[in-house]
Amino acid sequence: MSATAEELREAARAAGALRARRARRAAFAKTVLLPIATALSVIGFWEWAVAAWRVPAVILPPPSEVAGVLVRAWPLLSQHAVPTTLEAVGGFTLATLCGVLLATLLVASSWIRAALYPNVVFFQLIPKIALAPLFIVWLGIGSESRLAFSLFVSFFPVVIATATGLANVPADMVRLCRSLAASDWQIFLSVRFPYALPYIFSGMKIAITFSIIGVVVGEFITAQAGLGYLILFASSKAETGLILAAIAVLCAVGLALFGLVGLAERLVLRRFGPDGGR
Amino acid sequence: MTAAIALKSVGKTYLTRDAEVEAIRRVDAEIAQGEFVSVLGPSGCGKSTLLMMIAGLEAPSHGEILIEGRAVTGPRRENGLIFQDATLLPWKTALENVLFPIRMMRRPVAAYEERARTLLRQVGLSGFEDKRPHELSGGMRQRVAICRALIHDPRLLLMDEPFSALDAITRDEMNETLVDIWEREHKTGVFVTHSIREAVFLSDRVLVMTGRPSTIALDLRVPFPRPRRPEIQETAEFGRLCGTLRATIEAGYGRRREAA
Repeated sequence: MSATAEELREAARAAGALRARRARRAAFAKTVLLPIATALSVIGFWEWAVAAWRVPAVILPPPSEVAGVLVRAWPLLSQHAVPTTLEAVGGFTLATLCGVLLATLLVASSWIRAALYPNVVFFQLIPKIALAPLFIVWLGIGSESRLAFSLFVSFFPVVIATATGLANVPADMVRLCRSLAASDWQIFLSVRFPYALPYIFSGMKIAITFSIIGVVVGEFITAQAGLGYLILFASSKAETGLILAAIAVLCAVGLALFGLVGLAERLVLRRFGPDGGR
Repeated sequence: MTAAIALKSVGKTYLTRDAEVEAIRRVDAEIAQGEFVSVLGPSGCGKSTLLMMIAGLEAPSHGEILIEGRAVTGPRRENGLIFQDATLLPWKTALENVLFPIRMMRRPVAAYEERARTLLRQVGLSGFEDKRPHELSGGMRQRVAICRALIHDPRLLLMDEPFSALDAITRDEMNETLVDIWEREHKTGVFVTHSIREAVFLSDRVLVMTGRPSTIALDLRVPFPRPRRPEIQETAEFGRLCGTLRATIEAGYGRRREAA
């Protein structure tokens, strides 16, 4: 008995679904597995090369030894990770609040914008790291100076991104609000701010990275604790394994914080994004 | 009876980087209550500027605009605006977007929800109330924008090339939707367009604006009765009106070229 038309259609659908599944698997292998494989082979090469060329551990210990230090020195590493993480989060939070506030003022008044914005852009161009010692001079060697420096370093990306977002509302949308005699404050809350959210988050993602840099630089200059301090301490004793382990922890902290901002972004943009966050 | 809109030698001059540009020289016109008037003209002839001045969003450089006998000094909430782009808030549903003017006017939103749903139903969007703009087609988005312009029951509906970003088939559908809505809601309408057929199909009168600095070159009455059926577009009369308008626009262009 020959297959009915319905059965043929069903078979074609099944074959199509199979092809779609295969294509999806191939895309996953390419975009997820391939970069992981690249990273693993670099680490593998490092392990092999250090042994093959007999590189002294003081110059470059193999990854396996760094992993060993990571396990052995974990109490020390985690203890020093705490102040670094807290100060970075603190600097980032202050930078986000101050940045959004300043951007709001810039958009609110053309006079404030004219007076400040060129200077903001100019400040953005300064190699800010060079100013770190000044913060120590002004605020002492406590965490205030590192917090302030981290805020200073991560503040500008937020201002510029937010100001761009707030100004980027379609002109007709603003006209519509004005035609309804809406106040500037209403327009800001209901239209400008939600429109700017994707921009604000892109600024925040830069800021979280910068704030960690700010804290570590501060710790390099003066600190009694923190991963930056630990790195400096380890280098003075030529404990290269500990340096690399501290850097690994620093990377993990950075990745985790960046991930948290990214997660917040996804949650917020699912509600306020232009296409439901998709 | 006082005219719904009276334009009294209205002109607009812009200051650009290195010159003053006279966009609109002198426009005199009266639009009666309940009349649907199209302003037809080539791009850049100042017809959108004229609309924005009627909306109170821009001030005329000289002359005066009266709405129901009172001079326009700023935006009035008795206007409903529709733009070329739907300009919906992307994070709000169709229903919330329709209710947006109510929120901006700080009126009780709940009291208008029934009207919002009715309007959406009338433009063929029942079942789409909770969709967000990115889930709607361009034509559907513009339908939502029409409902939004009508939600607070404005007396004037001001439309700035509302369908010019849509494809031809969707555009025809939108024209029919607008005619339907029009015949139900009884507003005074000003419709800016550069489509001759659209202007004739929708309007009671068509004002032709010439190129910059613009004036009104022709004030043409469209005699078709309402309710309007799409079939009138096939009649000889419709073709003749379109021809008159096209000739006027071309003559306006010619005059500008001679002046240049």
